Amino acid sequence: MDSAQAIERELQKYNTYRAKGRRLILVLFFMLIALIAISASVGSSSVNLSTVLKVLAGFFSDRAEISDMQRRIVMDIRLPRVFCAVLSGASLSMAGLVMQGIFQNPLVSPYTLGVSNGASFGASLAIVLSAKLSILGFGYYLTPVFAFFFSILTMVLVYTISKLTNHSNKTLILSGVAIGYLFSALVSALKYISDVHSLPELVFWSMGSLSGLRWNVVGLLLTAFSICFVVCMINGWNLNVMAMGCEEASSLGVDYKKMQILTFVVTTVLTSTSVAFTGVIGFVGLVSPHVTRMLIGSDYRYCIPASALMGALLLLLSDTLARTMFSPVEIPVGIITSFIGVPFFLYLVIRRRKI
Amino acid sequence: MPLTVENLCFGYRSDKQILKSVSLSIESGELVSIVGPNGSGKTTLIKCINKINTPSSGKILFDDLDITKAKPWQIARKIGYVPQISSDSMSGSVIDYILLGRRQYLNWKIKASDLAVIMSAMKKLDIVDLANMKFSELSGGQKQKVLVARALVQEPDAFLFDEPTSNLDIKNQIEIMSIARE
Repeated sequence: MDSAQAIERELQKYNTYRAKGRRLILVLFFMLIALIAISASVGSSSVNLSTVLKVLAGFFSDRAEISDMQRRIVMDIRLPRVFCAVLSGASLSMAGLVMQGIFQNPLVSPYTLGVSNGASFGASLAIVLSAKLSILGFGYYLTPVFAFFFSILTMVLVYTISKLTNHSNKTLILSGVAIGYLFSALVSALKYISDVHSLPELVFWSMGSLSGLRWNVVGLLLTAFSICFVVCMINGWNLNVMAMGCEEASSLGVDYKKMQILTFVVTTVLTSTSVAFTGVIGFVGLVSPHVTRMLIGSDYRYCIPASALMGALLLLLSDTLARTMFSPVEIPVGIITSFIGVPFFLYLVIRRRKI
Repeated sequence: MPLTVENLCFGYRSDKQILKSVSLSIESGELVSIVGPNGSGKTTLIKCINKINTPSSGKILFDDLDITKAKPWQIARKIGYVPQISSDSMSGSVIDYILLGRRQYLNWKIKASDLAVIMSAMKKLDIVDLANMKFSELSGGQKQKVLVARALVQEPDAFLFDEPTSNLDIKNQIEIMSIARE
């Protein structure tokens, strides 16, 4: 075989591989649409898919035969929850993907830099001191606002400490772990002094839940996710180069420090907005990016949308099971994400024999 | 004078200088080897010329470009760098890996002309058959050739090789050196 034929053959193989990646993104997208429809149609009340469709049709026609109760269940309870699961899952997974690439470390998750511990402390503080803090006037948003504030504070602390030293990825991770432990100890102290009313709420928050979320939360999550998604997609090639590490990225023409700050801001916004409203939902941000990379390769231009879809699917499926398996009792969603994610992840690891 | 280094000083710690007032000039078309014992600062010098390390003092000029003040993308268009070792944390194929050398020319979508440049570099290094293999699964010598190909597709005016033949057998060493001379 001459070299022209060999080049042609290899290019064909490469283009086939790329087309497979694009097809996979489409498949994941349609799977998500189907799961949204299923998730909106199941639950403890008898509102099925046809009722959901009638409620949605009711926006365009006054003649849809639906009760006010059915409309409320669909519009005020199920759909906001479904979309919050989709957006939180997508945000956590995208944050995990970017962080694993930048840190060149497969064990990094959106919570590695201590953001979940900071958020937990903020939320715990709000729950334990809710009566006293009510004068601040945040009302329903008291816990999310505190969680968001402390998660951002954690990230700023971690980044400042790393900047004071040599700005390396190792220092960043170690600072994150140390600050995380500090906030974790503070949460334990709050648990110790909390009363019988606030302790269960505190524990439940730390296990993550998507119940009671409203459309305005969907709006906030959507805004944060959309901006970060666009920023990541624009920087798809830069993220590919960043995965080579500082030296090689610089020699290939990427401003490593500038990109490090940009990705730090993006992952902080994604993780903080998600954790503020849903509590700490583990595993999505760790496992979804790995599963995506195993299926689609490591090109961020494809991995970003695929990973977001994968995270959305995992969290939505987990939340649907969490609220329907033992209905009307609801299981914390973090437990289900691990039960679904771990076996699937291990299956892929064993099949491919590596991460 | 394409490359001029004047009184270059650098140390990883403020109290210990690795490079002390290094000066050199390299003309266009010259193939220059920097030799010295381990730890004498050969790699450090190369990294300073490529602005991976920021010198504490001194001047580095490439043509009219002041390397110490230039943006990374400006340097990447002028100088192709082949490191001793490369990270294989990226699980992509060899083509994906070499494509990164085209970062300064790539739009979001890969053009056929970019792939043509890549395949031409791979042909020159006789690694076309590796195109769709994973970089992490290659041997040390194969990896080194891929890194050279990545620098070639940058289409720079000059190359910096950091021990480019350390993992290669004699035949491949001669091959790489003749490509470098070209």
